[in-house]
Amino acid sequence: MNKPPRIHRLNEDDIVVRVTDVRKAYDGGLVPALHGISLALKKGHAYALTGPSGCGKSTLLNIIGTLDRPSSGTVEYFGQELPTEGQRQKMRRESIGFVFQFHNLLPMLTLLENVELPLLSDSRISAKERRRRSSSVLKTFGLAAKRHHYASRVSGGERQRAAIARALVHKPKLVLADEPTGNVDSATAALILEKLIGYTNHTGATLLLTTHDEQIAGLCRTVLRMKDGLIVSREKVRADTRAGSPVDQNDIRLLKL
Amino acid sequence: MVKIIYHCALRNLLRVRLRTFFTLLIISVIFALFLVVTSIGRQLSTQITDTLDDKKIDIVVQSKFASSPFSSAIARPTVESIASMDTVANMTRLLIGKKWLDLDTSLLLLGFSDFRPIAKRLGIALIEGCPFDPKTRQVAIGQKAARVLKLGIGDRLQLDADTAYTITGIYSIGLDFLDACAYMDIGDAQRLLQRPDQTGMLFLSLKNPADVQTTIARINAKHARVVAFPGGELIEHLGSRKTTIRFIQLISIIAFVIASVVLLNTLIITINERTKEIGILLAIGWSRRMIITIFGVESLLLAYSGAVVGLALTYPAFLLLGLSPNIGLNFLPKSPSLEMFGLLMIACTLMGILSAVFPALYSTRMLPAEALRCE
Repeated sequence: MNKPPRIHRLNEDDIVVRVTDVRKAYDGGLVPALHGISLALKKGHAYALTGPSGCGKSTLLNIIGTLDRPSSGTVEYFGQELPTEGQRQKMRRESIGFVFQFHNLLPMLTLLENVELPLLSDSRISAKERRRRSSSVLKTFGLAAKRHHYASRVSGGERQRAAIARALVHKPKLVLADEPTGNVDSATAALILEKLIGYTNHTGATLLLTTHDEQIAGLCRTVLRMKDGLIVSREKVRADTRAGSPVDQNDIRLLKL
Repeated sequence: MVKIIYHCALRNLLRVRLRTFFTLLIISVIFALFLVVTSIGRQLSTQITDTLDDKKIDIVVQSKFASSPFSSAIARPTVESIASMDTVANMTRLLIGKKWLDLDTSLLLLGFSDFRPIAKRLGIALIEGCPFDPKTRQVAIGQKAARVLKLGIGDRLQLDADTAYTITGIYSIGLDFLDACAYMDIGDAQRLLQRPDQTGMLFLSLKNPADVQTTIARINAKHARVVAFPGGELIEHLGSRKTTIRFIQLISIIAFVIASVVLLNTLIITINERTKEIGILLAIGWSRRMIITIFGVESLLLAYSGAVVGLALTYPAFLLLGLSPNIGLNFLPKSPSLEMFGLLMIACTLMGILSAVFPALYSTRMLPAEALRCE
């Protein structure tokens, strides 16, 4: 009988997300995707989730991001389960930033308006402040000049940068990125990773990204390897071998959102 | 937030221009039809009400089961019996009917037994010439009839194959309904309408206005085939008005049902196509209410635009209808009823919200991951 993986004792205050024996199956149980995943994501850490296609990375990411519900098992956020859709929506609005593999910007809006979207649901933020913060994040990503361009009229790399700006604009405590560099050139990929890891390092947010690329995985503090719906290994990347988390002026500006 | 939601909705409509255009076209034509029909109906109703207020005629008598003044027929013995009542000071007999002048032009004939007193009571003013002389093949016509038929004093009006009538006077009451008629002696009207000895309606003036209710009770008790009522209630007893109102109500319901189905269909297609966008918005923390608002605004933009374009279309529609002499003689207003436009806007609001809310409610119930998988 398979025992669930042992979870190291952690300071509960440091845990952002705790996943316990989560299983997921599609089509009424006919297509199993996850077979009892347990893990804990710590505050300020960057995690890479790797594994072959179809091993359940995106499913796990969706469940952690409250975009999907597990068939069984529990997911706790800051020590609390979120049983209602209202609570899950609030969590997404306030604490989670999601980066999709395909940018998923709304094509009929400008880049600036797309970045403003997560802030629109927070009535405490004024229109002026919203615009200021969105413009500032876009500037960080080198898109200030194109902020009034429609999403459908800019390049793929620019869209993905704008999508990451949208994921970070509301200063989430948990950033989930589903192969964020899968569809961009290497220069854009480097910029994206620099920003994502820089953000976690300087805000104490947690990053969980899925990737097929070992080099990208090597930038994170922990690499979780998945196979057939299970986490088969958990590797800590030594700080000296980790491909640094460069901080530049842009990152500092990002922190002052 | 309002600005972005509005931009989202507007740009989504522009994104599928052809679909938006055809939806708008269908909705606006339906709304224009609604406005034309209801405005004509209201004009008819207003004109009759204005003409026949309760201060002008004490009692009106007509056939009990007549669907309209055109089909009302009171037999001579009944007329004579009512005329001989001790409370009646004066009685005017009226026969009303439509006479076709040629294939597409008709004229409303009003035959009076005693025209001058009733003309004075109803405020029908002579603006040119003199009143007609009974039994001498003379008629007076309304101002609008004279203008449309291009006739003047001394001209002859051929009302049947044998007889031409000389026009002696032109009247005006300021209402299309009565300004588009020919006034004549009831004997001539009976002959022209081929209804010999028939009277359509009786207008009674009493010696003492306080006797109205008792006189009505006596007439209704004695004559089973007629109904008497105060002059002010004539509008309620006009079968044609009831029919018109029912027709208008039916047209309105059909118009709104078709417009709602068109709008709902467009919104269902739109929302299904954009399920992924719904997933994106749910994923970044938008509430269902906010997402439904976008589709609601989109639907309202379509419905209101349809109403405004429909309103604009009614002006050329009235112009075209006015070119037909037959319709031009009757109840055609110059502009659509603003009251009906107000009603249309209220209906548009309901229609717009309902058409968007139901499909959007369904789509936003999906899990974000499920919605994001849709292409």
